[in-house]
Amino acid sequence: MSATGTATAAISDTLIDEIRGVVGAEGLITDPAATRVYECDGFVLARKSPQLVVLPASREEVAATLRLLWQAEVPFVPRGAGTGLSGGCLPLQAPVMVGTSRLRRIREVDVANRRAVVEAGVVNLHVTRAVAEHGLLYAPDPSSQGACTVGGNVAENSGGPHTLKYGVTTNHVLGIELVLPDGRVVELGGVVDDVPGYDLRGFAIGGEGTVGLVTAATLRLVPVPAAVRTMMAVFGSVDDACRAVSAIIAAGVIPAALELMDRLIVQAVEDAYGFGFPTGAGAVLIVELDGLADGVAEQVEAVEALCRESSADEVRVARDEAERAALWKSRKKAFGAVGRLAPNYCTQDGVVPRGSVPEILRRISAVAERQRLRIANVFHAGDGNIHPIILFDERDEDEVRRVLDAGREILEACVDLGGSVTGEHGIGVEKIEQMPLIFSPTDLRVMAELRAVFDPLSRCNPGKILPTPGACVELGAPRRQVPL
Amino acid sequence: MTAAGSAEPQLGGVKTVASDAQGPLGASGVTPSATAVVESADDVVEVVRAAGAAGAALVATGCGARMSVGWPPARCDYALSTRRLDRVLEHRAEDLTVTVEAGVTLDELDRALAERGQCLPFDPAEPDRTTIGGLIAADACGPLRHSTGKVRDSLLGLDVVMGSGERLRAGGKVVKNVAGYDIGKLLVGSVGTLGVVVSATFKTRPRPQRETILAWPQATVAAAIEAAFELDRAGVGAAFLEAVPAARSEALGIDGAAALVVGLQGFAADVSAQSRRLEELSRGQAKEVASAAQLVATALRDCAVLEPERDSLRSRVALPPSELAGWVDRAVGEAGTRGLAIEVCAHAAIGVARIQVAPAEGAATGLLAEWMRSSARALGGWVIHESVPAALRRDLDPWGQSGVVVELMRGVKRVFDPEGVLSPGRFVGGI
Ligand SMILES: Cc1cc2nc3c(=O)[nH]c(=O)nc-3n(C[C@H](O)[C@H](O)[C@H](O)COP(=O)(O)OP(=O)(O)OC[C@H]3O[C@@H](n4cnc5c(N)ncnc54)[C@H](O)[C@@H]3O)c2cc1C
Repeated sequence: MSATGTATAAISDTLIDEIRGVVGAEGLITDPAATRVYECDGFVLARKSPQLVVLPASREEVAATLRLLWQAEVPFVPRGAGTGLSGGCLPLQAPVMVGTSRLRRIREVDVANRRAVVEAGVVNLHVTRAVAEHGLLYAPDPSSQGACTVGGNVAENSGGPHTLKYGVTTNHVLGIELVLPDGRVVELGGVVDDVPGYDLRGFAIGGEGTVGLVTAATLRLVPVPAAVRTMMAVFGSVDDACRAVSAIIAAGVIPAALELMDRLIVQAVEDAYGFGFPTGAGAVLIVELDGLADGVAEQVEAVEALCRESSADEVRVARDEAERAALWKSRKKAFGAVGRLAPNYCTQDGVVPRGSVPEILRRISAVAERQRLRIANVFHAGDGNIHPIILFDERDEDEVRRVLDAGREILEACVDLGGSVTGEHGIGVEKIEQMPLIFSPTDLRVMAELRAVFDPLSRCNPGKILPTPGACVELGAPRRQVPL
Repeated sequence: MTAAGSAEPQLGGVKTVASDAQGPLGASGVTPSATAVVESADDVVEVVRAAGAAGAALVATGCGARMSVGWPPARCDYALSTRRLDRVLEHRAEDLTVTVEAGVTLDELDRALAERGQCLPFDPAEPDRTTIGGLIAADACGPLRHSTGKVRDSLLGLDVVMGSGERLRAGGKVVKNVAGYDIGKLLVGSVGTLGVVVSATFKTRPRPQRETILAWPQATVAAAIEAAFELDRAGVGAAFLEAVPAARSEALGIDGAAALVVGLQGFAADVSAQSRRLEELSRGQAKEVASAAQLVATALRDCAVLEPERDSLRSRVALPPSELAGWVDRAVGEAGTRGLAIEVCAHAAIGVARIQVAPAEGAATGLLAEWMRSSARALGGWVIHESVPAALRRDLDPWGQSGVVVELMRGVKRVFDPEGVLSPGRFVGGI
């Protein structure tokens, strides 16, 4: 999947004028130099510039824009911050991108009921910042939380280190305001969790932008835990660290987070941020325990003992908030540090049953060796959600091919161990080929039909998630002529 | 359909037994001609296909504990009993997951999970009569919802036979999975209108190290709700906070017109600390209840179905939590002026109440039901009438949902069950 250039279809000047009438000149990008910025998201192996980027500033502007596109029969792609890692934002079969960067309002914070209504373009971390003074936080915390948007989180059903205890986005979104591809606005779910009817909100969350454009979401907020202790355990090998993970879960402890970094990552992170990890460590576990003070103290002791029983060389509990923040920075910015190791990287996102983590790591090493690639691992060990980071240089075509092969082999191994091909990054364009590994033709057909309930003409982010038997038909000769 | 003249009546090659009016479907007000007792996923496929081919309507049922939910089925030619789908397929203790067939009851599953020191995070009423299929279809929940969420929050995957007779797999068996659309969510609370669940995978959790229950006498249920809200906001980490009326507080051995019952679960150190904290915050009024925590918990979860055999109106109301106490006060007043006796239990800090209106002649019950819905909607909340007295069953909408979302829901139904074989008419908008 290499660079595919700009979209071939053209959009009429009338349509552009009409859209300008809705969003104003400041909400429209047509200059090819400027639309280039939107040619890819965090999945850099495929690029394509949209012809037109529209940035509406309100729900009404979104609705009016989508109505115009609907009438003109022009497909579009929703976009948040573009941090997605599976190519969900790639304007594959759609010349128009509708971005949420001007939907930035926090409409309401209801402290008493621990809810916030925020627009789709609000950055994840800004929600937590806005409610911190009330002792609340928004739990889903993707490592990209300083940049990614709530709309993107909803579309991807994103997770993060703390999902082990708190759950993913779908567990924290009560309602969404969705503009259907034909411009109608619907409320799915609500401000309570007992809305009659099929859980359409649950279906739309994780829909990867293919069921409409989310303009706002009602989020559940949780109280900041009374006590939090974060600790680091250093191991000689990844196997030992994995044994500690299993022992912790088996002991009935559910940490808030349980993250593993392997040798390559620890080294890169240490070079970048100088946290003070011992050089040459085989693996580092970050364990966070939260809850009520007494229980947390009890669990810290238990976890420390379990780590030592699993041959940890060192176990260190962060002394204060500054040290805790530094530790989390090394984890959450680990992807950034990878830039020091190679010009490019590509992350996989498979999941295996927790007990199979050591096995999948062994298989990943074998793949790395066979494909002559370097693969680093930093991941949500407590959830069995791996993130092998495959390092490469995009100028080396042969290497790029091996990267794609390695990714496929790793995902096949995950499926083989009873897992899934994606835990939080989504299928996008990247993993479409792997969908048949876990779903039957019936499953896939039903998914397509359900999507069509929202988007009968595939106008919203076409070409994502599902393998389409007629993919080439759609690519080369669209069933419905798009007026140019 | 029924093989004529043969000793063994069948549907799609699966043995059927005669249904009786008192059987599992009794509560729904309809009586099927026969019940197919399936023992495997293939059986389910055969039965659903046979029903579809015959243009017959089929209603799936477990033990029948929640057949009253929704409109009465518009038609019901056959019932499908899941009770023989009774295996716990795989408990991966180290992964905190379990895969279980639809006919297993919550009690049965709990016993299996206990062997490895785990449990499910659900505690709906009548665990001995609630099957996994019923739990999912009715979106049943109990007091523990306060801390562990709803069915949707712990459901990982489903094996389903759709109304079309095809087998569908939704989700998977691992704790995190975003591959494709989250179809499992659609089945939760769908009251059997989309598919017959064959098996499901859930997250499990470690059994709490310690648990205890405290009761705090209150003047009214509304006052108990208020107290719960304050405790929760003060950071008391309870497993559940239940407001219960006089009738129940007596049964629990508690004095007072009403009570707030607080469940504490977790690490021993936390439970003792919270228990002390609670005694402090209540100025000594909250006390550990004498009877075994397990017994009290069971009594509490059954609050929602006090005297289920009576022809009462039972409703679930969900509001923004800060509105609940005031609303309950008003509801008690509204019932009083209409001469109706009502009883309220509540998952007090999360804004959910269960209302039971004692059987009464005349139009009063229907009017109160409508008041409940419109007043709750005005606050952004919803009311589902989970059990409607026979006299109101044709007129009182159990759901109260309308608009474009119902149109979308009809679309969903068409995908799963294009011929309308499964539980026709029971759901939102007559789906
Ligand atoms: C360094 C790094 C670390 C990351 N760590 C994590 C992690 O820990 N956990 C995790 O889950 N993910 C992680 N991600 C992935 C990514 O950040 C998430 O998927 C995030 O939710 C994407 O948000 P976004 O605003 O950037 O969305 P985008 O990338 O802009 O879009 C993602 C998808 O959502 C759709 N979309 C966006 N906005 C809307 C909307 N308003 N309505 C409808 N559809 C919409 C798009 O069409 C696209 O398909 C990481 C990414 C990076 C680069």
